[in-house]
Amino acid sequence: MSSQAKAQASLLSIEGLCVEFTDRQSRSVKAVRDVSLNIEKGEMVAVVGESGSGKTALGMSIVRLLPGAGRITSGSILFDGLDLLAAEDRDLRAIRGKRIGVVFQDPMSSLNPYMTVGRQIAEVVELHLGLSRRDAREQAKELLDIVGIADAGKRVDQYPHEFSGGMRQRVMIAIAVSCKPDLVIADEPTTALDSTVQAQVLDLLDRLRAKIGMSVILISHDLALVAGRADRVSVMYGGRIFEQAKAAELFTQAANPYTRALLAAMPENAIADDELYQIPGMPPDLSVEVEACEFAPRCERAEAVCSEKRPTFTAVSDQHFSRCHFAEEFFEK
Amino acid sequence: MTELLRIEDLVVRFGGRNGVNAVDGVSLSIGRGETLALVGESGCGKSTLARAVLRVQRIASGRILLDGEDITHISERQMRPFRRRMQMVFQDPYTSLDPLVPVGNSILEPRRAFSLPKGTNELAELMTAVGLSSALHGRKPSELSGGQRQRVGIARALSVEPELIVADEPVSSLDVSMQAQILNLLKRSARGRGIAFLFISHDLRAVRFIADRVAVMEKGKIVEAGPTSEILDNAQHPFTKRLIEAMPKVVSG
Repeated sequence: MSSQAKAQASLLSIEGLCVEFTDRQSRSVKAVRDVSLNIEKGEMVAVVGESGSGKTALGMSIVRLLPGAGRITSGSILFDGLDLLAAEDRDLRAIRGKRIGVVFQDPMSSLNPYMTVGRQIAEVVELHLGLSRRDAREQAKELLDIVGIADAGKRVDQYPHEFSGGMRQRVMIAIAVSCKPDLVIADEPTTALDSTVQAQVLDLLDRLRAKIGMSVILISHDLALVAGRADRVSVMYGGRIFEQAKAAELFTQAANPYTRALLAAMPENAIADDELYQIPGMPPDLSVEVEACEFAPRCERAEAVCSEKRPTFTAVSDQHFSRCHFAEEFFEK
Repeated sequence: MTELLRIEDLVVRFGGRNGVNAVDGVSLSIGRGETLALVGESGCGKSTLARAVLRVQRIASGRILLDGEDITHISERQMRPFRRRMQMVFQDPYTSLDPLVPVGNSILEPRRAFSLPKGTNELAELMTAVGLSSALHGRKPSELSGGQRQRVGIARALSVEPELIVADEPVSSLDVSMQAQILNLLKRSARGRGIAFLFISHDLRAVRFIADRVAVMEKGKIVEAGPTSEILDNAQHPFTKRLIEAMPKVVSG
């Protein structure tokens, strides 16, 4: 399939996206650098990276919800054929919340504390689906039920502070899926939650994905969390996608030293009784642009070429791409 | 191993006579230099138990002994020398440091509070020990990364040479790569300095790496306790099994 034909089939098609922020020292920080990513209908794609890798900026760019100092400097984002970067605010509002739902990391600060959760869900379906106040309330109850909140009839009139963290995140998900969206962007949806609740919330997202047939972008710093759930995984570093592969292949045959380092640093992969692998050095300063591999200063495989030439994003197998001069070598390992 | 901390039948009650026992008859002990992980879901009472051990939470009944001495009901004045011996590392490195105070001063503050020598030499040593460049001592917390701030929190706890550190979810707000660095640091502190840890976490992956023993808490009670590998590989209690079940797993090549 040619790349153009493929782009046409995709629900979401991001091409060459660049996002910049201005930091407190008035320096321009290039948070997302030339990122291209396609999401197919019904697919779950995980975007994984350390903090500062650009994964949240990428997610928020799609719905144009970058914080004040952020701006998209180039690239295109096509959603079901519509150019989101050229869209008028009015058209965007019709898509946000209706065809694209967002689940933020911290449900406490993204829900309105002065409004019942029922009202907050109802508001969305009134606006986007034109439901009457009464029907919207019924819909809110049903949605609470769908996301697994017991006693929805009573809970619908309660306030966010009356819900636990996991329950609030379920409410956020209810809002995100209330209009049966085509795409849900979930930004670290379970980071603040217990492992048991984490599993429940991710199971819920997965179940709804099958039920509604929606696509999901799952943004996380934890490779283990997305393993076994995502269809494909994109690993970001320094604003760029360093590796992208089908999930199963990424975990067994990572073709990038950064992905391998992330896997090695997980607590279950201790190298000695009292030592976990530590990725040496610090994440890159994104206000500096280098014609080199951003990971080279921390990479154990780096050679002269790595600090002289930026590696391209090349295919190592079907749907498996890596940005490394030694991608083939890692892939064969 | 000599016993450092002993908790006997501890009860913490919220809401008076008709209230609930947030900690409901817990007995535990931690040996010198030992790391005990306390695991359970949020709301199970693990943080309340930790606060009771540090005597910042009212105790309804039961006893807490540090190094053989009963500290359950002693006065705040009598408590002072014990406070130096028990330190805390918090979950959130963003809110547990004073944003206006240079981190070097934050690290040495506990020494001043306990009238120890000011320790300017110790500052460089402490910062190096936790993997911070001592050149950062003049920085404000906002100028540091999350991982660096957590190192400051640990240096602060280490500064008064405690025998016990209570660490409440110290890595759960950090990235995998930062987590590895902080877990290494905590384990090295336990081994190298002989510090005992009460490590509170819901993350069994971190627990397996760091803990000598594990106690599983559900609804204020300890439902299962034992050596780490025994609990994690051969859990008996259904609640423990459920926690293990929920743990994300990766099969990597």
